[in-house]
Amino acid sequence: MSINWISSFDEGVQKANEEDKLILLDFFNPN
Amino acid sequence: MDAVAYPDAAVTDFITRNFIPIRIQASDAELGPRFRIKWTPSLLILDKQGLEHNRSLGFFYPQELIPSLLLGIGKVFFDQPDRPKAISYFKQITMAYPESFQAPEAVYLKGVSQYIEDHDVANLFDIYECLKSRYPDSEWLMRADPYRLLKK
Repeated sequence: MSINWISSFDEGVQKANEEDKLILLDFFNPN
Repeated sequence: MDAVAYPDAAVTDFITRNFIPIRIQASDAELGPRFRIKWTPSLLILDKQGLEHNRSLGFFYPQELIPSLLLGIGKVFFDQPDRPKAISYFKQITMAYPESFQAPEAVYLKGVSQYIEDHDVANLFDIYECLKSRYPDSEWLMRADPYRLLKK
């Protein structure tokens, strides 16, 4: 089991509204 | 975070149950400046409108990340304001993670939330007493220092 990160901010906000959940927003450096 | 904290089963479960998790590269031309990202990892907790309520910078051990996230959730409800719900999250930290780095702030915010709810200054004095006895080296004891004068 792993975290299913969403890579689109707008999609994540929409999903948060649909599921009535808070958002965890992780800004990362891939390098 | 990818090597240690996120693969932890308890962390994965907690994040999946409580959040919609979004990952964005810090170099993102729109969202980086919008959220004033200057360093990574930057971990933000937003409400479903996308408004930020909590931010943490830097690495967390798995056993510290969960109480940190609980604190952030509590702050969302504190801000809304839904103080009873906020209290329930702050209490989870003090009960289940009393040794975590987040516990002193949770003690402070739980007491403040209770005071705002019932206007009983005993809640503020209790913050001071609790921090003094359990977390005497915490900066939150300094922040609660004026409350020691409220003893009845």
